Amino acid sequence: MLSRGLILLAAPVLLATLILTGLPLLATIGLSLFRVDALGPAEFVGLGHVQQLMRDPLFLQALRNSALLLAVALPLRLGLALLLSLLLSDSSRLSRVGLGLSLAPLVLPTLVWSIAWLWLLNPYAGPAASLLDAFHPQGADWILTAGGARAAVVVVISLIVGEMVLVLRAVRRMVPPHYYQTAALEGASGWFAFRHITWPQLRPVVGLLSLRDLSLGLQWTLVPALIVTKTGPLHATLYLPYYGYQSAFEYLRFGYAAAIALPMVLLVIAALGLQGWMLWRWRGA
Amino acid sequence: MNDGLHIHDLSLHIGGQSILQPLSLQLPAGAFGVLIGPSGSGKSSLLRCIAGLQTGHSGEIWIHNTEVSRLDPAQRQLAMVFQDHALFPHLSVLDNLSFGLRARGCPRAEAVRRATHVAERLGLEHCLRRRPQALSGGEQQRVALGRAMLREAKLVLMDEPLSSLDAPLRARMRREIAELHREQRWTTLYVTHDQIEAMTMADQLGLIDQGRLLQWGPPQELYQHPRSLAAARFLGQPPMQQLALQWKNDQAWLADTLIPRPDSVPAGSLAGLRPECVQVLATNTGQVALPPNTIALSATLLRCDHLGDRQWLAVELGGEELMVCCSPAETLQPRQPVQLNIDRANLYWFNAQTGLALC
Repeated sequence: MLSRGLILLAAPVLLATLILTGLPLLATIGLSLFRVDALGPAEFVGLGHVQQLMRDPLFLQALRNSALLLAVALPLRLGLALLLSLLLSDSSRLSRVGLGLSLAPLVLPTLVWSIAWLWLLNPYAGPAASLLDAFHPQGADWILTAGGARAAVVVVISLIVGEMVLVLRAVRRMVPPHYYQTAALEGASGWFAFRHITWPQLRPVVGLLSLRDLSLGLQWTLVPALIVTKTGPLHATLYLPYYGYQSAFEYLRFGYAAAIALPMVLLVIAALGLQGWMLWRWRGA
Repeated sequence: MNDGLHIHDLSLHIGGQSILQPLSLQLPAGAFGVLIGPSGSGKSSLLRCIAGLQTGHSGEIWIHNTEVSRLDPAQRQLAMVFQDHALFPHLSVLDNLSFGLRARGCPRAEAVRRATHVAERLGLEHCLRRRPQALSGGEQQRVALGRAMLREAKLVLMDEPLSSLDAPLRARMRREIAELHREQRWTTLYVTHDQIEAMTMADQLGLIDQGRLLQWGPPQELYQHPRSLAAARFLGQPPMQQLALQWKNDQAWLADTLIPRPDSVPAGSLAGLRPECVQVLATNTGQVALPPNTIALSATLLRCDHLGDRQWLAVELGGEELMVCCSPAETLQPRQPVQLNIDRANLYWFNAQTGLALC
């Protein structure tokens, strides 16, 4: 049972979440039903925007791009975070430095991080281009293809995993060393120990982190898409947040932009529901 | 080389600090060895060196004629029972038991069959599906022992396995471990800080203090013939007492009574006395005829602690406090003068500089 004290302690965060996240969430759904350009009066269109979206090739492209990005970037992020958290799990100086480095992209503003990548991936003068050219003549041209641009966005957002590494490393370090010593004495291989000792301890946390990524993943694409690739060749890196941003602030179609955001709203609600179910199951166990 | 466990000149340094000073010991195959020492004495470190869980040691470790100090823990073919049992909380008792077999590639059906067999031997068949948290302390301990049985190890190391159990359960598990040890013909090295466990279970007992093995041998020999004053103080409740001797003209005096010394004992040596080897008399009993070789000392009683089966007395003798034991039947009052009768043969003599036993 939640005590009154706990609820009081959580109250400031709950209140802020409600006002800063809950209200805009509801407002997005409401706004999508109106044509709003901030110049004239709002006009009720009902599901008109949704019908219009179904015929909008740019929206469908953004939807496909977004799904592809989530399908590739989320497992990559989790895998990378898991790998780093295991490699850095001891308390040696090297591990602590590594942990600090993995956290660096997180404390850097996304804008700065993206501008750094803009230089790194510059197809004419950047280090990545020189490297690719060294392997293959015109290798740097690959950055200019649709696949290259998509890969760039995946790389830019997949390296910001510091806080996941921090959480997973903490969970890994909570596993008593006796377990691994027992496994070593019993002749278990490293993989067997991971599969039967480490993974069962990490699994619930990995589940929660995946859901968190699922609900936040698309939002991270806004700045890299804006700074590094724009919308990429042939709209290859046009994602829902950027298309929404464009519709709202460049074309002043606020209602339409809200409708573009609806798939993300649904995704967040689904992730929240799954998370609630997982936590409920934990409490039962 | 001998069968069993043979350790030669093993030492351990961590970060420039000496954890174990060079020590050697031999444990015959099938014997039950016990290491006793206070916390931080290095006894667990010694077990971890033998198991291969502690790197950075020098010296040789032989297990059944194989030098193992360069081998992986798994290759040493030993089992270890930890203080907190080290059972996996997310696995059932059956999976905990069969973990090692599965890790070594045994097919699942075979592993389950053998684990079930061992569980029946240990009386655990009713809780095979349960998680370790749902078991009592004794049952958890049995699962850990079952895991050691399934390892079919040449050597079993136990690191204070009973210290988390309450006293009656501890006594029962002590018997069960001793029985398993005989039945499985294990060579066992057992670490504890409990003197009763050490004295009752050991074939060979080692006293460890500050990383040094003070003495290694059968428990009765350690008790009766301690090699040094430090070793002598280890065993016995209360421990061996040192007498406040005054040396005058090569003669030892204690509270104005001459303490005769054997010829082999040089002047200036230290004398020790087991508290239970003293006869305590109320001074006014009027007993005059002393048995031969008995020294009578006058002391003052300071405190009495009744333990039920005996009393611990703190007496003032030669300006210092001394602990002695006596029967619970004696009725004594604090500040009462008492007479202590000591048989000369019960005095232990030690070198004043080295602390080593003289005779």
